[in-house]
Amino acid sequence: MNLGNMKTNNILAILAFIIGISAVFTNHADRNNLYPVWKYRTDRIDKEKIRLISVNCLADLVYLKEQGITILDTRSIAEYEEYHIPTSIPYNEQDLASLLKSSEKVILYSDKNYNYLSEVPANLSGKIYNLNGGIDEWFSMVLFPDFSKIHVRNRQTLEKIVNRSRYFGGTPQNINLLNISSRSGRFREGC
Amino acid sequence: MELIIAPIRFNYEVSNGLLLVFALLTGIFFGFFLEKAGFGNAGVLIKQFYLTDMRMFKVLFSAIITGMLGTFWLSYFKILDITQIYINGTYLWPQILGGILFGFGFVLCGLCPGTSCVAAFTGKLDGLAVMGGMIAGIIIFGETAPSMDKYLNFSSLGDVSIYEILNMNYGLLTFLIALFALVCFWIVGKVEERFNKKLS
Repeated sequence: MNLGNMKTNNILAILAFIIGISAVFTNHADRNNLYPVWKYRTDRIDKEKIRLISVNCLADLVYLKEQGITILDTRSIAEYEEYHIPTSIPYNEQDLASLLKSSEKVILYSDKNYNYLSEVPANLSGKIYNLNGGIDEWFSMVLFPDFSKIHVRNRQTLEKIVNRSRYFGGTPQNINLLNISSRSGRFREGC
Repeated sequence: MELIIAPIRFNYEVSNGLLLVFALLTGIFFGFFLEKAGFGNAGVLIKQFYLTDMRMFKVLFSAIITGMLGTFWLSYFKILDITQIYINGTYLWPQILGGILFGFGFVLCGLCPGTSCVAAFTGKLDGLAVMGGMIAGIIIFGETAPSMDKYLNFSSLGDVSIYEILNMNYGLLTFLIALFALVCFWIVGKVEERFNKKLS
């Protein structure tokens, strides 16, 4: 390709395309420690495709008292009794088939990872989601969100995280570090 | 009042005075480039609505794409603090109504707020008239806004971004908008050619 014969506009268009498509392959939110906004995604663990639900999404479902979801705690009974995600019930393999029939979504969680998925029969995996990061992520993102480690991009998200944390009996950490509260006084409108 | 015009991560404290100097320089450059692009002339801008000269569309969409890609990559490399960027709140229906009114005024005058200032300061009387109307509108709106609070806050979605509403990857959305712009540039180029041929 001879760049000398190309119009400047074409070169700029190609440049914009390359810079634009490169953006797809970055993980901007993680790099900037932004509070995750995704709800569902799939991942591969040991070559097995699994569906994930984010703690943010699960917290919203519980907070908004969404119907048709069943949350199963796959940890030990002792751990369940110590603390469990509100509305969740202990996991029992025998009940799983009937729960899948009666629920729109069945969400499983454990401590941190989701290895317990291998225990679930493959033919029942249609509506099953695994909680990304497990109960640890629930603690760090929903109950005790630490704003020295995560950033929020707007006031609505901040208020939602704080209100939700208090609703579930948690306490937001380092909220005073956020500059976002000072944004309410700023106005800049127009073209 | 807090002043954050460009939340670039400097290694030293930037005074409010210096930020105002940045704002002034940005304004001067903005006006200069608007004039250089010919946007101080209502005759040029109005051709957009006859589909014979889509210069304004191309320049402004190019600026949007440049700004969007710049914001993405500067924040990716942590030069720009994306959490501190001011985003206008979304008030769906008031903004749709405002957009229609704005478009109506634009077609009627051939100038928008920014370009009317450029036109006025290059000595064009129509620019001065539009600027006068704009200032009158600002004063009337400012005085009546508190009593219209209920209507102005109707359908407020907060300061949300498209990728948050659509629950999609920020990078993917950035690429899709850039791609959309490139396709639009190609289409408006063809439209321009066609309508100019018809006129000639």
